[in-house]
Amino acid sequence: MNDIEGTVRAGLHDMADDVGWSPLDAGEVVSRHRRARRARAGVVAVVAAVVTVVSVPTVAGSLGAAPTRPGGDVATPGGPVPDATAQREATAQRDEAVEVVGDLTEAEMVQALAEFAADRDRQRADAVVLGECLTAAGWQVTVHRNGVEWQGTALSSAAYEASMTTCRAAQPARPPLSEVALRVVYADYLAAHTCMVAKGFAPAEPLDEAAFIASGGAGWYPETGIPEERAAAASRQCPTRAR
Amino acid sequence: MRGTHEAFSSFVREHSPSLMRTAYLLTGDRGHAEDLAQTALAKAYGHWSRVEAADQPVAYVRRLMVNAHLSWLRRLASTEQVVERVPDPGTDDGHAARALGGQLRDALRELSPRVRTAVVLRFYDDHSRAETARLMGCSVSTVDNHVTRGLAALRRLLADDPELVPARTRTHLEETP
Repeated sequence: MNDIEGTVRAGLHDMADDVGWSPLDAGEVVSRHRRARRARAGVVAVVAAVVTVVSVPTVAGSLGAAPTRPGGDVATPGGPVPDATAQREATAQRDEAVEVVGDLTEAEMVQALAEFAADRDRQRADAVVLGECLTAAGWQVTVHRNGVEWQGTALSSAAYEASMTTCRAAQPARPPLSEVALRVVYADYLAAHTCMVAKGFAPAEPLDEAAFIASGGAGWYPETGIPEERAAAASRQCPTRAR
Repeated sequence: MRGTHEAFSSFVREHSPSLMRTAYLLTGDRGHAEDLAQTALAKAYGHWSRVEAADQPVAYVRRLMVNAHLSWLRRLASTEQVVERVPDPGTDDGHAARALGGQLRDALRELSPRVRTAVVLRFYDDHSRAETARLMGCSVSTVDNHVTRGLAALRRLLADDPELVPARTRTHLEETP
């Protein structure tokens, strides 16, 4: 086997050296990085749309279960029934997600997706419990995938918020996401942030990734720094998979 | 920021040819090689502080490149057909005249992408088995399996043209049952 190893080694060097390679242009590389960063927002949104309707255990609900934002209790109803095409698309988009956080190994990405799936399950279970608690307190609420929806009036909102605070306090804390999963969340948030800037919003500068991870994913959101009255619009136009 | 850009530019000048050589062996195509190396460097630029903090920044970028390469192949496999061979480049990059290099290029094209990647990382970049496993995101035993299969296939393919295989290798092959 050593003979063939030597032959292969020599042949590989011959082959690689036989083509002249000039250094790449760093400016072009940086431009490519910026184009890719702008494009990520679109990719991320597609991933979110596809993976949340898939029933594959390691993919279902992925990236949709990042740490809940303050006030993020309302969600839209579930998507269409999953089919084989959606599953294939989800697999392809999952690989896009790997591309988004290209320095993660495939095993790490699978670990992160499994965490998101488990976290999503807990989030759904929590939503049911939260809905029951609010109903018991006298509120009419609708339970969605990862939260509850209440159609109230300004007059009653303070009382509702008080009930919500009480009910939330009674809920068990969800276990924190791992560093690997938080890196995926950070990439997701960063893409949304880039999208917001491109659309003319003025969010605060992103938190450093290390600080974001140290905060357990709660130290920064893409819309941080945008005035309250515009934050919802920014989030709608540049959604993350956390919603 | 200016310091970052200068450091990155210097890194690209110094290391991009080496990265493209590896990329060329992985993809079998000059255009794809440049694209792959550029993709890896663009990702590296996005995490430049992490790259600079790495023990071996070049190894870090090489890992990004291998990940990107295998990711492309996975995406192709899930959206088209399973790609077991790289497409013919269609143009002569000038290396065909070099007998062993040209013959090896044809033989490499017969290997599956993961097997080819393992062979290139082990015998061109001289990575250890453990480092190759880390770069490919798999176990050492999987790397061993890929390398064994790759070398067996290359030995068979290269032996088909005795004019291009060193005599020592041919003798060894003839003695192998």
